[in-house]
Amino acid sequence: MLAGCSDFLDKTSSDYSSSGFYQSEAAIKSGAEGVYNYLYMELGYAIPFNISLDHYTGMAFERNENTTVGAGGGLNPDNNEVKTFWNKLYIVIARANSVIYGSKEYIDGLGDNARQYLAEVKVLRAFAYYNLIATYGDVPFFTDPVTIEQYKETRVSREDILDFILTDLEESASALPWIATSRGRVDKAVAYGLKARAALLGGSLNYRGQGTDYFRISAEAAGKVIGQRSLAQSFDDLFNITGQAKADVRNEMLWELMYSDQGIKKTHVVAFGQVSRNTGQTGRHPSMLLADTYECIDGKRIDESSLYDPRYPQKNRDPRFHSTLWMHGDTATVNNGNLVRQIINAYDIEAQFYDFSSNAWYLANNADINSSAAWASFCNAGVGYIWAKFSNETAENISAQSCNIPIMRYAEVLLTYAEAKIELNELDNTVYDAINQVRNRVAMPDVSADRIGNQDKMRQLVRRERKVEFALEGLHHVDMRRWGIGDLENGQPTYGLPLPEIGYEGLTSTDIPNFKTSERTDLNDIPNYDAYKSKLKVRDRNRFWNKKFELWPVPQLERDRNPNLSQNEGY
Amino acid sequence: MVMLNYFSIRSQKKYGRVRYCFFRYIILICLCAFVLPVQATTGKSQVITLNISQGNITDIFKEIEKQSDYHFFYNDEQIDTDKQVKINVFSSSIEDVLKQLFKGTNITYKVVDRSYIVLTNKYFKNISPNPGQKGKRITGRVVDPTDSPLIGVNVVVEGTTSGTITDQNGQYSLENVPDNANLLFSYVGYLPRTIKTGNETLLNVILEEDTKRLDEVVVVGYGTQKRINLTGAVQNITSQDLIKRNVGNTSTALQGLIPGVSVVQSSGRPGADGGNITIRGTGSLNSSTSPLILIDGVEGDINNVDMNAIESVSILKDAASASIYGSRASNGVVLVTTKRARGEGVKVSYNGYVGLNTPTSMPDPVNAIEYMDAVNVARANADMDPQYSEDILNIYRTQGADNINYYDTDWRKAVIKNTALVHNHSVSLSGGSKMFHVFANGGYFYQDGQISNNTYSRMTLRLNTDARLTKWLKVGLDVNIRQSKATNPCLDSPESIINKALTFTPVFSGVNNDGSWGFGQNGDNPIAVSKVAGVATGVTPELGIKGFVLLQPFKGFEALASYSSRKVEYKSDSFINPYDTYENGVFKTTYPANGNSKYEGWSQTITNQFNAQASYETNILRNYLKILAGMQTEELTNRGFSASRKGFEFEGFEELNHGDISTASNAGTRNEWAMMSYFARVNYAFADRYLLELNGRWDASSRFMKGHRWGFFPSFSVGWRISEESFFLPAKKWVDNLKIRASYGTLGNQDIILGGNPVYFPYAASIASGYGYWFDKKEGTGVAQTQVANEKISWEKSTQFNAGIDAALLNSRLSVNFDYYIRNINNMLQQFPIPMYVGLSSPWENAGSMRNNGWDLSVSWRDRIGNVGYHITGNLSDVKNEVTNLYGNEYIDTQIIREGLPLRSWYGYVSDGYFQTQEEIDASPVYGGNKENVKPGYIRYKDISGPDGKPDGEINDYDRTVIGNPYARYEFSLNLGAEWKGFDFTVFLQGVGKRDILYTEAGARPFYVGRTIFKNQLDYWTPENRNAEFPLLLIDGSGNNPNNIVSDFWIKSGAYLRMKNMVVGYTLPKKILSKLHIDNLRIYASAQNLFTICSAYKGYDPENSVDRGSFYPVMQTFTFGVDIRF
Repeated sequence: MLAGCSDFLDKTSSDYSSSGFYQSEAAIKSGAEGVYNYLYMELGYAIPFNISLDHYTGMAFERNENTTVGAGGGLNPDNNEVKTFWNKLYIVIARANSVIYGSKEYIDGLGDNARQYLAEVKVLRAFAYYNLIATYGDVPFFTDPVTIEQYKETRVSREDILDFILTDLEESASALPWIATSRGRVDKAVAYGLKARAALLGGSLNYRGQGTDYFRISAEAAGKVIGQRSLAQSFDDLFNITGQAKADVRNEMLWELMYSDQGIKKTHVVAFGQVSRNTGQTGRHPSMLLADTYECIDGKRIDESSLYDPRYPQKNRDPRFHSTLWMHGDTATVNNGNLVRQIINAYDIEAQFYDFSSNAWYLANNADINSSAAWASFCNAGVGYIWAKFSNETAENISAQSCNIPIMRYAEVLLTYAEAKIELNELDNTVYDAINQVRNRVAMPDVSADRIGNQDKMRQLVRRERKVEFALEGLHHVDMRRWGIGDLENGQPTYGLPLPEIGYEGLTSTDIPNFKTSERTDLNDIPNYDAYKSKLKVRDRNRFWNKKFELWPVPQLERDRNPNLSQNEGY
Repeated sequence: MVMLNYFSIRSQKKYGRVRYCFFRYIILICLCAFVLPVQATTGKSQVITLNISQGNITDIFKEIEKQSDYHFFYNDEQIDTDKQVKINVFSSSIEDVLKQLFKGTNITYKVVDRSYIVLTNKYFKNISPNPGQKGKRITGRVVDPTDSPLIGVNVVVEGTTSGTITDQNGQYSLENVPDNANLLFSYVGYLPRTIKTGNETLLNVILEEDTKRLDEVVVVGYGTQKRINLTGAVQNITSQDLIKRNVGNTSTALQGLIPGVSVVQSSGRPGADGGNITIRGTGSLNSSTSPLILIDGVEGDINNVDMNAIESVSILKDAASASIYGSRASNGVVLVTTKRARGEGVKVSYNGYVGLNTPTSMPDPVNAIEYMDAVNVARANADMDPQYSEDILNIYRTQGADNINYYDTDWRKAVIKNTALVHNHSVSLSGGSKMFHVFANGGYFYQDGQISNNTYSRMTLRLNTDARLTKWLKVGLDVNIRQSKATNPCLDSPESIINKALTFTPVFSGVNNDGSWGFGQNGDNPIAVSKVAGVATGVTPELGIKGFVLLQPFKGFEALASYSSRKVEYKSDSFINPYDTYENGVFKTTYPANGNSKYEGWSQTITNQFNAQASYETNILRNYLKILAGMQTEELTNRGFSASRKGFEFEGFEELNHGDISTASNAGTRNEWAMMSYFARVNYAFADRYLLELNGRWDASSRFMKGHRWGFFPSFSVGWRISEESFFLPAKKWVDNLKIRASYGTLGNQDIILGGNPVYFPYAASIASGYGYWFDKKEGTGVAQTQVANEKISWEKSTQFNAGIDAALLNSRLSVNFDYYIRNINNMLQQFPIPMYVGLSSPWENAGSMRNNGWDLSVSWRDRIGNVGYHITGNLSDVKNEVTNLYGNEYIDTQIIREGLPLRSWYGYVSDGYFQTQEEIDASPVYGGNKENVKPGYIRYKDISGPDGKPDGEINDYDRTVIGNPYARYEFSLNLGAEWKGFDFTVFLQGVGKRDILYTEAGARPFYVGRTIFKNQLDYWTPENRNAEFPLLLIDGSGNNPNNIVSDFWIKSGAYLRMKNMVVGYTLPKKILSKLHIDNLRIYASAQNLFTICSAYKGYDPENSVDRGSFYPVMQTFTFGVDIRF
């Protein structure tokens, strides 16, 4: 009698059942899209994850003093960002594994498209694992959905994981086109670019004591991409919605986090969260360390160039300075619903604004100095600099921004190639050409003659290029650790603009930071402000670096749940 | 099925017994536990057919009472009840029957009020035992507390056989009463009273109704039972107990009324301020902890029933009582029975009140100057420059805020209302004839919220009809219609708006001096959000229909079938209307920046339930046996869709059609669920004193895979009415009733709920859509599996042992109930926390067990001093929880789930005051290990352990321990009531003896991520104020400073005592009302939550769930109402 009633109890829902789901191309396509979907992971509110990452280094910081992850105090196993990044990267992996595993028995019977989608999924999984090993070192590693028995798994060495993803990326590349037909999908260029990026990590950190091998893998992978794509003509075009619509930008953008102003829209608030208080709010700030890394237009560092004037730091600088940073005296135009053009002012209660109807400038209240939120402005909570990258947006409201956020650009492949070759000490013309392409695009001079053939000087240059080219794009989070310069970047308080009673005009021509406190600081472009620090604003007085910060800790919550997970040294 | 309950109440005195017999028909009209107690007046014929060849006269009385609405009243000293008679009448009137019955006897009869038959012996009136002794004549009137005459009250002179009964006006007259004699007044259903005559010759007496009557019938699963025969832990509440509380919903009204039933009202939000009911502790880890709530046998929301339409609420606490509901009853059962019409004629009543709500308590934020001073102090404490210069502070001090250049916004005042209106109206109509009865109730409830655009209203209509078609067939149809409507600001939840109103800094701009909106926090301005940014409206129409057929073909047998369908819809509608913000005279932003948008959603849940049951009962000699068996199916279908658009160009045109079609978006879902059940019960009683009950239920749920679906849930219970034993006779003088009982049973749980939503397919690894990506800037349809599957899950089971004692003492004036129980929950359905690296949410598992053991005590006293009747009821209960088995797993977070600990204990560091000096810091371990980060005035933590189980000189994970229990212990209540000459007065105190509340984030800490500081938080540590309530003031940018980790420092006692309810009422005298043709008129005033004694943080109500600072305050309510019956 009871069994007869079972039909009554067989109920259905609007969700698909997982068993046997991934047996068609359409299903694998949808599943792959579900993996892409989690690239929208955020470490801060409505901020793409890679935008947050540079703020955990000496290049930038968040609003509150001494609490940014990179600034020391916050980097502990209970830290929320530490937990969130771990958690979210593993969700990408789980979704990928679910598709890969679910389609295993069907994929051979399916066509090229299905295989391409599956290859894309593997690239996304490799991307997540790359971020995990680069950030946390050894981590739990799975290529199939995690079983209950694996809830007590131990960590797998970062070297083994790296080797796996290098192989996986090579295999995946074969199933992918050089340029994806849909913007936002990963393609062969991304697979090789990521392989180059990942191998560079193994090279720099000398995995297995075989750093050279990894540099070679990196150079080879990057080399395959070189020539397949090209740089955009304008650097500025890369970071706003109008520029991103251009074909040359599409060509440089190997991989973007996609946003949209179409239909119901997919937006972020990157610019709104970093501009002047007159046009938005300021929660994230570039550091003076970054600002002072930009060369003068003669290709020389500010302490070495005669073109540098401390009273007008923005003059005669690498054009990328202007594309990336705004400071006191700069004219900034931002769309915050209205088009607002202002002259950024770090000192006066009124600032100059532009009236577009009468084409005239007028004075109005300066919220960076005189408002309830002025304490959080670029000159109070920050150190005098505003991110112009992604903020230089006039075509749409920065509170609902739809420009894409680059995850990988062709410029990175060029510089990764150069760095790998430099570390291999194979200083041939392909190296200079790669660097020159990046520099020439912004009208910076070629690699100077004194660097040719000098590995140290080339290493200095390629690191400097990566810092200034990719500021705010999230690469420095790993670069700083690869280069082992966390102690240099974070070993002193955060200095900034001249104090109000001094002002820029109060600086003298000798108030130039000292990059040469040591050979390491010189080669890594780390300025020291001790000589005139009394004239400068200072924050993060407790900023410090500990060797253990080379890796983030395994989240405490994860170790609570699986006590078999060991912790990184020092935590 | 008809249950015949014969009972006789004897006066405890030697002489002057009153024999009273009374039949009550209990008619089960619903198979699914909906039972209707019907007075003997209901549906009875007024014509009598008797054919008795040999029987004593009381048998004939019984038969007449059974067939008709008549009741006999007589003094058995006057009537020879053993007299053998024979009678044969067919379809005769009562007059004819009585005439025939008493022909040639000394008995005279009088029919009063069409239903009371008062018998007297014309030669036996008022005989004194000592005829020689002269006494005086005493007359008077006996009434109930509402001044209604009581007919047939037995009045005797104590120690004599002299006595009489009252007439239809309640009047009596006794001759030859000695001076200083004691007159005993007794009446069935009322507490007896003894009154010394003194010199009085006129003695008017009020008798108190006996609410704990032994003959009381309570609703139990799929039936009813006499209270005295109960063997499980069942308690019930009548309509009056609820209505008296004057609160908007029934769950809150239940608070404190029954020991072991915990009701916590954690929010005061209109329409969402219902109490969270748990019975005997938290019964599950991850599945439902709420009791099964059945309204006339159909699952429903207790808060959507008009209290005036409720006849009674029964709470089945132990497994034996609840197990007839098997799988659904793991957390106890609440049976709500609505009223049905009885008798003939029409009765109409109105009950309504109007009142004002005001928050019980609220934090008090500082003003701008206090804020800026405090910020500068906090920054100085972290070696940071002042944020507000002396110049700015001086401007504020000398010129004040102009709210254009300098702001001082009182967000709390601008957003939160001091008082808000609440009113409730309920009209009931009850009427019928012999064949047909109808009860109708219409209700309207309206509550205004504490912020703008926040209201709740509810209309209810209930129609309960019964038709007796033949002697053996009865049918009925019940209709229940409800429509609730809630409005909220659509941009933000009321809780969040209130949170912001309390914590936004006063230097943010709220309203500019030119009336434009301020910029608030980056455009988020809670004043504008609540007032102009758009309203979300949720309308919930509900329609419930139930039909039943009741067959009573022969004596003792009854069969019932019923079918019900309940449709609940939810229609939501919101339009976001951005506002422009200005600050310092400059346009800042339009908020929200995405522009206007419209959202409409619709969902529908249809639940169909079919029941069939049959029962048979019989008495064989002194054995009573009843057997019940039945089956039930239930199926639920849930569907929903939603649509939205943006870009509405023309003001006032806000239908979806008017929006930008390219922004159109829509979604839809469907879910199903079904259950099938069989149940059976056997009741056996021997000699009314040895009681046994067996229950069994087989349940299958679609929530489990085939092969794991069926569960069997048996139980048994026994009782022994010691007071009925002959050896107990000497104690009867003090103890009217004494019963001990015990029960044991198993219950199931499959009601998996996650984040407040039911999970219908917990076993399935489903792949859901809605995870798209924006390739080429166009959203696609991505899918993802988000949860680990486990196809083996099955029933969560709980077993419960219960032992109890019920006693009524001292003429039933004192009654005591005590229960002890042990509740073991096994095979817990839970989502065990799994490593984050799994990347999916946890699978459901049947794993682990926990135990609740506790006790419930209820003591009540009811008596009368002169004209003042009074009653006191005290409830006290405790439940202790322990997680007994988790298979070695544990879950550690702010709350810990670990074997041997109470569920979800607070887990963190142990504080040890503040570091007072740098030397103390140098000599102590600090959290995080970096002493640079710690200063005097920081919280000091205890180093209690290390890797070797010993203090290791570091404050780290090893030093975390259990620091509190979030669940209430020792819940108590005290209900005091008194009546005097139409006035009634009730005071209801309620509280919790022990509980720990953890306050976190903005709920506890000043300057939490850019928020403000409350006045009480200005008591912070300084070298001059070393015993401050709060540590050294710091800007808490990201919540990462060492003071803010979870520690017992932030735990406060949640114990409280509160004046939950106070009511003063006055019932107008009958004399006045009868002229107006009004049966009853009572006016009343009441106060809810009048005061509270507790030690939570200032500004927070201990019942409120404050946690991170987002909450809706609990309300203090003052109401004035009227209750009128025609």
